[in-house]
Amino acid sequence: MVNLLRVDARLLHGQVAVTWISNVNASSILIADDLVMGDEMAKIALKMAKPADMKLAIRSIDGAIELLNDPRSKDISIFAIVRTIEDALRLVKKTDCIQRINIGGIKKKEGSRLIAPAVYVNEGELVTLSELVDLVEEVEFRMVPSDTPRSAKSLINK
Amino acid sequence: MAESMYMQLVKHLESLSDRTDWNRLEDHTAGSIAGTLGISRTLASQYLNEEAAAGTLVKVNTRPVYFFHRQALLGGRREDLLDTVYSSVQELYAAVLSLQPETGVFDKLIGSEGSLRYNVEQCKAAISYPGNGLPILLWGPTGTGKSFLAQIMHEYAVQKGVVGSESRFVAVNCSEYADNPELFLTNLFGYVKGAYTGAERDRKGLLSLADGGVLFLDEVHCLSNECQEKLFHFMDKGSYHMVGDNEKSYTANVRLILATTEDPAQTLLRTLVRRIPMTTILPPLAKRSLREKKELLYHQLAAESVRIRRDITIRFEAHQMILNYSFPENVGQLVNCICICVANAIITAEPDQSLEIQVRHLPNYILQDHYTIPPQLQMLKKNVLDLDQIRSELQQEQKLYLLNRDILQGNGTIAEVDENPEKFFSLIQLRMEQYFDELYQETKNRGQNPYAAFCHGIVKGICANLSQRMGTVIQEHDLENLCLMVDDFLDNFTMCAPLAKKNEVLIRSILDKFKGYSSETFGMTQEFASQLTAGLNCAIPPLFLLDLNICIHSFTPFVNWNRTVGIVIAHGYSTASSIAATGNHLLGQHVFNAIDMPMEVHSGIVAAKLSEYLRNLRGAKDVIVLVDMGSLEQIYKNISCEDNINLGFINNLSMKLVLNVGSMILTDVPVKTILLSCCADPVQYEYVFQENRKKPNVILSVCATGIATAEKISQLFTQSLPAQVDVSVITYNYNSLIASGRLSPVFEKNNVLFIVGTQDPGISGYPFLALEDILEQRNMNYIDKQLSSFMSKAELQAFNNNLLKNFSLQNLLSQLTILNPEKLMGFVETIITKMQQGTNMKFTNAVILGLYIHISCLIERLITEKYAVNHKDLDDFERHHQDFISMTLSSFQEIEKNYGVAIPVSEIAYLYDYIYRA
Repeated sequence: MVNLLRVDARLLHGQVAVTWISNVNASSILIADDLVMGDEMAKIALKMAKPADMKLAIRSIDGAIELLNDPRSKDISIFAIVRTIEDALRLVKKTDCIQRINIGGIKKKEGSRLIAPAVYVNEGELVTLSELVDLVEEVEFRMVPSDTPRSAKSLINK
Repeated sequence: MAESMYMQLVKHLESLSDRTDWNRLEDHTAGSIAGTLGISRTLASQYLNEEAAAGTLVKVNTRPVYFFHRQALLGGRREDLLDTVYSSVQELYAAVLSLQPETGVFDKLIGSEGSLRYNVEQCKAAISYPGNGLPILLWGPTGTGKSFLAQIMHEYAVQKGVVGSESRFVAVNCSEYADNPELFLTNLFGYVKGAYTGAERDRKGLLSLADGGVLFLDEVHCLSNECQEKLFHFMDKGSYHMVGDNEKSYTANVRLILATTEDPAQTLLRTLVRRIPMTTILPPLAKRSLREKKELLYHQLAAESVRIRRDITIRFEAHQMILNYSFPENVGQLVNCICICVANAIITAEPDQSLEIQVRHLPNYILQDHYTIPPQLQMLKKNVLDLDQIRSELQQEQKLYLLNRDILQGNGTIAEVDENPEKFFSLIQLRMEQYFDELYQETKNRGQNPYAAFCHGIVKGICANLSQRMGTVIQEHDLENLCLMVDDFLDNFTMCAPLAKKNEVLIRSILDKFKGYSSETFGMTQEFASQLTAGLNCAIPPLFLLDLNICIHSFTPFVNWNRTVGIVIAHGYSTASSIAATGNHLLGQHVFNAIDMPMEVHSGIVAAKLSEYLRNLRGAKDVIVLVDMGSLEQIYKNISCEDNINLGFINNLSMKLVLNVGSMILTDVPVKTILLSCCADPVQYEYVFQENRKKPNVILSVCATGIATAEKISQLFTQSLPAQVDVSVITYNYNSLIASGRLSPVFEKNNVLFIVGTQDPGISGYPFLALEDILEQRNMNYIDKQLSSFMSKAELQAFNNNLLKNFSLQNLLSQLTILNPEKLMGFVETIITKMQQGTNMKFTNAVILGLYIHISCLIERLITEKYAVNHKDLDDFERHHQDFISMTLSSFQEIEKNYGVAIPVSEIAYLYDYIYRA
């Protein structure tokens, strides 16, 4: 079961490890990202950022889908992290265990604008976002748990 | 959410730069921007500089400093080709112009993309410079196209909209007025009634005619001093008096183009020269490429054909003789030459048939220059060229351009340079094969010209020299290709010049990668290029160096750079040569080189020859020398050997020995072992071994997932090892290490301390250190033991710190968008050190890595978004941890000052959580 799916361009880093993990109440972290799979150095950095008592799995998006659809994953509480909204949508579409999505950070790029703290999106991503909003129970923007969450629904409709 | 100041600032500049008003640059200064946005000048300046450093803005380093929005300057196209800093507005303006979409009027100027490229850039900048353009002087010998260029500049100005479409191009040939300055002045400025006898009414001058357009003063050196003075008075003020009336002054907005064949410093008044900010020097035809000459010839023939409404063909000999003539009077003379040819041909030609230009139709000056026609030309089958053939030849000649275009822009192949260089080379070599096929076909059809034969001689000479020195052999087929390529380069590389310019940065970075990938090939390429430069007196541009590197890289399968070099020395005029040749033939590869030793030659001379040969071997090498009876002692005692060569001698040279040693060399048997095994029977052979080479201490970096990661690890180590530590890091292919294990030549040539990587290749006798373990400080006893064998305790500490910092930096690079990571990391390093002192703790590597990345990203977020996170127990935290807060604040002092941000208490609370809970 995925307790929370977080979208964060930096994937797992110090702040996420400390704040969200204790908040999400999961026993395992799943990082789903195609880029990291080919980057041994980035993998080492992710492993170093992980709290000592947590399990960590790093998979490609397809690998993550397979893992989440494995019946044995049903009983494990998972905190999943992806890099982009597109990746989140791919996971959501191909699995049925994700209902809560937190968007914490998306990198600035060509044609993007800031819609929530640390979240830059372009037009394409806005479309993906609204698709995502329709598929799961909750999509919110929040950097750390103590911040006030802002619902994606209200942000898009503005 | 309110838009941050940062974004507003960028947006403001974006809208300013979108249609930059080059006459109102004051809007682009920090002061003006600060005023518009209502922030302090210092703050604005800091933001602007940050953005400029990050590449969003372009900066002009004058007083005051101007800032422009990079993307908006060029309407979102090709902006990555702009530099970050320009030293003057003019420079930036010229760069912007050169990158703007072209109107194409300069296309009709042959050479505008080749030898006249820079001239064209200058002309464009001058004519369209804001205001009334910049006066420009075209300086070049007669017939180089000054008037033509001036006309094109006017057309360009019309198309760019800097002058009206009705504006005039007024040309004045000043030589007509050389003896009559008064006439010049009256014509230029006009006169009023009664100015001189016969002036019966007012008459406007050329200046007035050219108002709003372009005035072209040709042969300006013919003007008298008085005229030059009047001219620069007008240039200064923009106003003038008509002759005969010193009261009323008139203004004219005129773009001035001046032209001269003489050195302006010698012939123009210094006061006038000073008022001409731009001078462009047009090259004589003799300095331009053969290709451009061919193009000019074709173009002129085609123009004549249209003019006389008849097809024109030209005999091959005539064509060649025109091309071979030097044309001291340049393009003008070439044009004139074609006119004469056509006129002469018309007299003798049958009416209504196509006109054939023959040698006898050529102007006398060419005929007198050529007493005999080179015999090669007479053997050619195709004797008559029609215009289509000449044109298609011109197009075909762009093969090198097409090749380079494909290399630099083709279907993502270039991306493979990083990831999979082997694949890159194999893809590109396929393309290059095709190129060689085309070249070969063409040469077969066209035949070789005498100059090409000369070039081939030089290329072959260089290759023979190189292969001797490097103990390699270059296949005949490869050699032919290399020759063809050099030919093509000499004739047609100008076609590639724009491509090379556009991809300057890319080309340099590819060359760097080539160098890293195979320094031997790269070294040989450079060596080849430098000898070619000397031999043919031509510079080798980086793009062609890249072509050569790819070409030479395709040789390498036949070459083993690291192989032991075999040398045969024997008495007799050619005994050694023939033994070596036979041996190489039987071994199937070039293993042995020969030094012949005529009976009467003193062994000292042979030793000197051998020493010379050894000196020229590059890098660390093993050499084995086979000598015939009796010479051994005398030679090896006289050898002054370079200290990086291991030198083995065996006496009693025989064919059997040659084959025996050769086959061991081919299977990479170490020299020492070869010597021992050959000399198992001491009665038959004796050996001497000079082990001069100190094996360097190295760390091998490998990675099962590919050479790219291994390369990164190697970089990380190289950057982190303290400077005084004498150890280098070698990237090695994981699979070949697994395949040959301890027998890999790398172990014989180096003192391998240990292997570092992500996965243990399991080479017995060589310890393996996982990068992960080093970073995470696992198995520290074991790791420290390996490292402390060559590092002191202090060095070890420095190494660990550097490693962590550089590793964090590698990971941070993709995270930051605007701040310079290296610079920022320096500050963060200080913060982490201070916080460890302040808390009296030694953070783990994991915490330090986390802090490096977290703090760096935090600073960027505070700058760009001004957003700080909330913390749920903030009051509580503030009450209980005042010490930690003030310690953190003091640790952050430097960074706050430098980046103009303040770290809020809620963020400090997170740092606390992170340090104490992680």
